[in-house]
Amino acid sequence: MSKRETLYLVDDNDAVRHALRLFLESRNFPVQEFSSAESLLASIDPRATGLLVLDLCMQGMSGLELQAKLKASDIQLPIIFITGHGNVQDSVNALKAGAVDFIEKPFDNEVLLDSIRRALQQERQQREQRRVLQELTRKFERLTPREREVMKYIVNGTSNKHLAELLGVSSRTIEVHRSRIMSKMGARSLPELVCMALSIGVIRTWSKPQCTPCTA
Amino acid sequence: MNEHPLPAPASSEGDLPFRILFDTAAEFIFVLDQDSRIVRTNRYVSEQSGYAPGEMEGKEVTDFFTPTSQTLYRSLLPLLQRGGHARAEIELVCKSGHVLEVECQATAVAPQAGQSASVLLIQRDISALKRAEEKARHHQQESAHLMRLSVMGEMAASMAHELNQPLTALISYCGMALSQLKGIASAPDSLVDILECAYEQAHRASDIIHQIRNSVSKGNIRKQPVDIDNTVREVAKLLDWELAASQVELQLDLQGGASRVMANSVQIEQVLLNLIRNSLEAIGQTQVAQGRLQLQTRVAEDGRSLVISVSDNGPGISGEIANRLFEPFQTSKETGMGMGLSISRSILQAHQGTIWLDQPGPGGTTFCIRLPCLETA
Ligand SMILES: Nc1ncnc2c1ncn2[C@@H]1O[C@H](COP(=O)(O)OP(=O)(O)OP(=O)(O)O)[C@@H](O)[C@H]1O
Ligand SMILES: [Mg+2]
Repeated sequence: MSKRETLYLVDDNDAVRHALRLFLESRNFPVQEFSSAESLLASIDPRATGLLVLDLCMQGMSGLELQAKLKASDIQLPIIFITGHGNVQDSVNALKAGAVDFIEKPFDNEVLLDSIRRALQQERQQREQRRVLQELTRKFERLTPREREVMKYIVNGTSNKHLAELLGVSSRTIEVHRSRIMSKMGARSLPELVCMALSIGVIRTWSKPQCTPCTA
Repeated sequence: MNEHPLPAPASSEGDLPFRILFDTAAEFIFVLDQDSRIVRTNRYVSEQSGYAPGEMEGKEVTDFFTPTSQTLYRSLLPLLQRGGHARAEIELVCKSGHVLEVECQATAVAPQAGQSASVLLIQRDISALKRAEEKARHHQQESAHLMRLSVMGEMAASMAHELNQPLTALISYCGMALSQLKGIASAPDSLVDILECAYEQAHRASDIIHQIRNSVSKGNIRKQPVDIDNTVREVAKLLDWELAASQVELQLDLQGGASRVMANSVQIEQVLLNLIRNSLEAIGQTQVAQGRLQLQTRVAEDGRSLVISVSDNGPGISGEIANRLFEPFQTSKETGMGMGLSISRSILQAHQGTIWLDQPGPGGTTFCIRLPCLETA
């Protein structure tokens, strides 16, 4: 792994914060610690990336309240809750509100580390997915209006011949459109193009069985 | 106008008013001779006991008592024979075998002209009263038991929470030391062993805490559909005496109507008692001319929940301590434990409800409780 993501550690207990910071830094994570939800809110960059390790019950604003506040201000840090007060209802609420994990204190260092790794991995995948989607959308937008129209037909399974008749042009013209679309979108096959169309919402459903899902 | 002579004392059996009284009384009346044999019974006795008058007359009255009551009654005899008056609680056995609890007044009647001494037993059925008393006592026991359980549960939970913090740090420190030590080839094995033992013991401590918490909070609480207005009325009744003693005026404003909540009513009573005691204690600390306590219930606007509020005109609660009220051991009282509100919050959590301080500030306090309503079909 190249650049390590920042871990934001929020706990109102000094010893817990000190120990966890030592441990996480020993595993080469940059750590920023906060002794209250309020102090994190006051200083966090809205575009921050990384991960939040958050104590559930704290003096003042609780972990759950902080989670809601962050969500409301559109700060999308994945959250791992740690709690000394295992309460089923709280854990359900936290997970429902989008927390990635809920760990009861005390825990082994490795348990926390595993959870952090999984959360970061998941976050990276989601970020990659978002990036791919954005790129596809950009490519689609660079097609000419005519190409976009043709693409909608062909991903729906309309044959070249039929499409030529529909649009009142020669089959040859359709062929040309088709190969331009494939190369502009970066698709190597029709199924691939169909998947792209599906993922960026050019079409809603695909009924032909030959589409095998692809993630490329 | 005809002048009638005053009727002779009750002994004159033919006397009409006496007979009417005797036969219409809603009390058991037995007339006994000196040897406790039944001479006469009134209509109520035969109605309630199922014995015809003829079946009883001539028998000893104690034949119709339970063995314990027989002993009790015999112990009163010397007193009655000396012409005294006695009161006792007696168990009367009906013809069906059913036992009635009665309060018995026994009065010796001195010998009158032409008649020997006798004893008059007047008995009042107190079975219903006894049952109510028994129920109240049972309820109180249950409530006290639950209260002890909640105090223990609350303390265990808060101790678990407090102890888990240092344990988290301890386990993390040990883990780090161990992994660093294992990376050093020259590190002595004995040191690794020692640290591993420390690590294990820290885990053991956390297991113990876990166990204690679980065993204390196990008390599974039964919930039933509860009419909250009724619960509030019951609580007001329980407090009758305390309110009178502290001369606090109670206002009830119950608008819960037909709505029901799924709850353990004893626990909800406990929450209300905690809040009301706090209010009475707060009022007691101030010089308000007239202490006032208000209990209100209403259905929330969306119809989905019921809100109960407890208000007083005591000193109020300042903003800064308002945040920490519900934490265990937060108290401003010399003899307080600071558990009342924290227990109340736990109870509400177990009911999917909430409790909050309405408006912090001087000039009185209002606490509110919200409980989800049962869906009405
Ligand atoms: N109605 C009220 N008016 C003013 N202060 C209140 C009121 N209710 C609670 N408080 C404040 O909140 C504190 C916590 O109340 P809580 O019932 O939890 O504990 P306590 O009454 O001090 O002790 P305990 O209930 O365990 O005997 C009180 O000590 C008091 O300072
Ligand atoms: Mg109290």
